[in-house]
Amino acid sequence: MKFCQEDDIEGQEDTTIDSYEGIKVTPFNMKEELEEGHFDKDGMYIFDKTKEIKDNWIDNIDWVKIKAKEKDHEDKMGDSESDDEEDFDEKAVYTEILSFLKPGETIAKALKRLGGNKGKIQSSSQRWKAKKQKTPNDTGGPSEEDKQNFLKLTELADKVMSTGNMEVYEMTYEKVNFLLKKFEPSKTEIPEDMDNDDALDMFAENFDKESGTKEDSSKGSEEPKSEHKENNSSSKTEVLVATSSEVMWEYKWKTEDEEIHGPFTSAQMLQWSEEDYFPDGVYVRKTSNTDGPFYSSKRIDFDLYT
Amino acid sequence: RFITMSYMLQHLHNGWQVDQAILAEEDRVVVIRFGHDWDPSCMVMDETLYKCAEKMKNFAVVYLVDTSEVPDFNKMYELYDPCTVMFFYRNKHIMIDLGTGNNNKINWSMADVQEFIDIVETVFRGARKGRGLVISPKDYSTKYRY
Repeated sequence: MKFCQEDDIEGQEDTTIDSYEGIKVTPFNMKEELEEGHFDKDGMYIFDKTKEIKDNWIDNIDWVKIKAKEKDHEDKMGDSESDDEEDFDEKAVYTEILSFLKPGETIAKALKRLGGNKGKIQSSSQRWKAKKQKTPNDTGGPSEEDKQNFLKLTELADKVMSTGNMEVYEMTYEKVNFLLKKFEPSKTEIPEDMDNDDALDMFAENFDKESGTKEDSSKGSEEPKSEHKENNSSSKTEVLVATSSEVMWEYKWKTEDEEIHGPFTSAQMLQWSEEDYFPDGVYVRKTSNTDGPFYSSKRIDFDLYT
Repeated sequence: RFITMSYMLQHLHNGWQVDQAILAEEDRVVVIRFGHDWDPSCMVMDETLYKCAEKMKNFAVVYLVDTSEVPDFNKMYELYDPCTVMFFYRNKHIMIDLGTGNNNKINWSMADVQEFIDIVETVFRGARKGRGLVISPKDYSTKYRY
């Protein structure tokens, strides 16, 4: 390996003064650096390892013993994972975590809600108001209680994380609840202490309803095909299908035209509109919606359907 | 049919509930009708909303707000029309170019179920793609509206 010699470094200056009005002046040269290391030919600075501090303690370590211990440890881990986490009471931790979460909320979201750097999440109307009044939104920091909860929840999440669960922050209320149920198959109810939040209680009815409808909708999106089949008799369910499968289009040049062209994919329609193939617009309709109205292609953003 | 019972339109009774309804909904458009149940134009709109609600359940949820019971938003959203419909997605108000010049809301009652569904679907698709403003499939400026 070829090293960069000191002469190769251009523009160096000799030491002039050590200090100026009490401020240390570092000379514009590499002398000091070259004492502790060197530059390779590309100019990369490398510390000379030879001057590394020696540590008698490290020299004294009996590596044979350590290797043996490591193996022992691994064996234990193999037996049962929880062996070395005896003081980690998963159930208690998860129960406590659950008390901070709202339905559908992940731990990360709960932390954002409790502590987030901007305080509370602003509702749409609050933002609207702020925008109108053109005032900087100073909603103030989170309340003292929230701060405490924030710290506590962080601590709990950290505990779980330290056991090797790296996805802990993405765990939702439902997931935590599910895990808890696994610990205690006989007792499946949600711990009562989650209701200490008055506000939540007030809206509990709505949450129940909502989670119900949400389940419905998620089911729908998972298997739109089967739902489609079940309700094939009514063309109305096509709307549901429309949002989860590819939308096809048909068009006619004039509203009074009889001749309908299509079906075409949204991508095709998008391409044609972008290429100005329909300079005056055509009248389009989703093929799934055979008795729906025709709309001017000028007002349809086909990009939304691709 | 029994199913229809579960799609009764839900009223929100205070400002907090309105805010929560908008905040809590993660995946669907929140459609809110501001007005009065007894108002003739609201009756027409509500009828349309009622017919749409089940068909839109995968991408939208509908709520009714009585502007006398909950006056919190009247000034802010300029709710001076007998019937106003607004759209929200993930805690964000979604604007819609209806051709009327007012992109904030639908401030008349719509009787056409399919047209309304098409609007909400456009709002949903646009909002999901991060658009804050979408274009309604139909132009509702006065020259086309009547």
